[in-house]
Amino acid sequence: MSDRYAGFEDFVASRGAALMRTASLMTPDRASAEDALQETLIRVAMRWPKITRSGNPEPYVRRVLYSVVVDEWRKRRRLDVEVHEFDSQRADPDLAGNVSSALVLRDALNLLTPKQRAVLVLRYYEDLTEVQTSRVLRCSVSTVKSQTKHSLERLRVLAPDLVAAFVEAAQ
Amino acid sequence: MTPRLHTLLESAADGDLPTSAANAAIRGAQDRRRHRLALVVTVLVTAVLVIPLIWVTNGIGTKQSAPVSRVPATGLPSHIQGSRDLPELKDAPMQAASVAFISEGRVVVVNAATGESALIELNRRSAGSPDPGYLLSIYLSPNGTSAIVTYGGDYPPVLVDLVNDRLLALRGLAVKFSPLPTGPSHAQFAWAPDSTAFACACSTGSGKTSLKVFDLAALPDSTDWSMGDLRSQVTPVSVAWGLDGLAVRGTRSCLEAHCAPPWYFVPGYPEVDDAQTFVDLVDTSDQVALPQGSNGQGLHLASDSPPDGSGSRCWIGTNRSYQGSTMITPEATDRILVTQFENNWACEPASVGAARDGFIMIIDQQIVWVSLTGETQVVSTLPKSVYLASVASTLVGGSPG
Repeated sequence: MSDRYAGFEDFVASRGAALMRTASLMTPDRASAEDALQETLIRVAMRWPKITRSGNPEPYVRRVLYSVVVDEWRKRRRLDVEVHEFDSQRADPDLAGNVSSALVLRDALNLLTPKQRAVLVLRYYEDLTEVQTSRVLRCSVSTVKSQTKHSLERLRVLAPDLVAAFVEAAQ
Repeated sequence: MTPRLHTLLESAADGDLPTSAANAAIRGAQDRRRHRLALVVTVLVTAVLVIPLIWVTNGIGTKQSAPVSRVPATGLPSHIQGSRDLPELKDAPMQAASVAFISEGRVVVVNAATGESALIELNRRSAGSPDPGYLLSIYLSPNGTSAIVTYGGDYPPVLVDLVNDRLLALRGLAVKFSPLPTGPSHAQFAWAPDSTAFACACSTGSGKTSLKVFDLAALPDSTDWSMGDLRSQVTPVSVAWGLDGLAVRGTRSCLEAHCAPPWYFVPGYPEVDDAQTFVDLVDTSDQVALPQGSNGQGLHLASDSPPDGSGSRCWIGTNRSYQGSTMITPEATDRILVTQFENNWACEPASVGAARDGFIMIIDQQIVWVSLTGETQVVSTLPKSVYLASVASTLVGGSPG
């Protein structure tokens, strides 16, 4: 491999899994997460010498990842409007009781709109502020606030077993 | 901070990194860099190869702009003075005028050969018309000895005899006049190439469109003119009279400003004594298409008079719809000779007509001659405020034959 990409493989090896986790939370399925991460890594590799010149590349890489995910769902929204109807069966406490909390949360996230899911992940997983989140999503702070509120309310309905966590987050 | 939700999200996240993600990304990056390079090379090669090809093609084919080469044009002084301080025509009679124009509401005639200029005070001299109103158009005869002046409103056109210094009101044309004093005239005139007669195409008050021919020698004693009705009820917009005959260009309605109406071409001058023959000669099957994109209104038609007598050409002058560029094309074909002039005049010509062996356009106070090959020459500059002019087509044009 040429010197142009020196350190890139080490970076992916050390931080790739963390980036993959974020991608998986922001996208509806593993295939989409892999695509988003792959696109992110290609864009980063193309500018790798410049990115590493300024020191730690991870903040930049994460910004690229957010941008790739947001661009993708904005593009999909234009192509086909996906309307998620509330499925009462998914809110069945028995069903929730039969699977682990992680799977319930994953299913519930998939029933949020892409924007709601992105807000939730950026705010409570990536620990971005409301202002930072609004910049990533290219929307207003008030939109971030309202989307956060709506997504938590929806999760309470979709995953009633995890209500405590959502109430705690809302506070 | 919400550690519990963060923990839940962490547990829901899938952190299994695809195998060889880094290598795949590097390969992808290298591919994209190659593709970008190929795209840049393709664009550059296209620019280097295709653009000169387009230039060459345009140079061989239809001219889309006026060339920079200049050709000699004669028949007018380089600068023409305005109407102020000019003598009246009766004080300085002239044998012929090479250009006539309207400046500050008065008609000015100029004899380029002698350098004379004179005023024709139409307002005071028009018998029975104390206030003839807005001057609409002027048609100087090819030999420069007579002119026809038309007005807005319901005032009759006037024939000006420059040699004998007399006026003749052309009454009884039964023209359907514009409701607006400054509205478009429904009568269009064209002189015969030998200046012995003139034709008037007009929408009459009875709803017909007539083509009338006046023999100059018979006026004013005879008011009996040859006439016939056009088959289609068009509003005549322009008329040309060349060695091959008369052509009338009309539009079906003034409201259809940007449609492309057909030419109604008369393939031979009819016998003036037989009005019925005249009607038969106006055959709508001889329609000639207008250049694509030409404006339906403000279109001028003229026939030139080459000195060698080889036959005149029909010229069309118009502006392109909405684009503002001027379009000149000879012989009523689709061949566009000039679309944009060197000085980038982007407006409709105020007045146009045939020259000796080309086409004259009065635009932006400039008299511009267009040769048969598309070359242009600013022949003269008119005074400010001139919006109408006409040249004697046998006296003005390229090099004298």
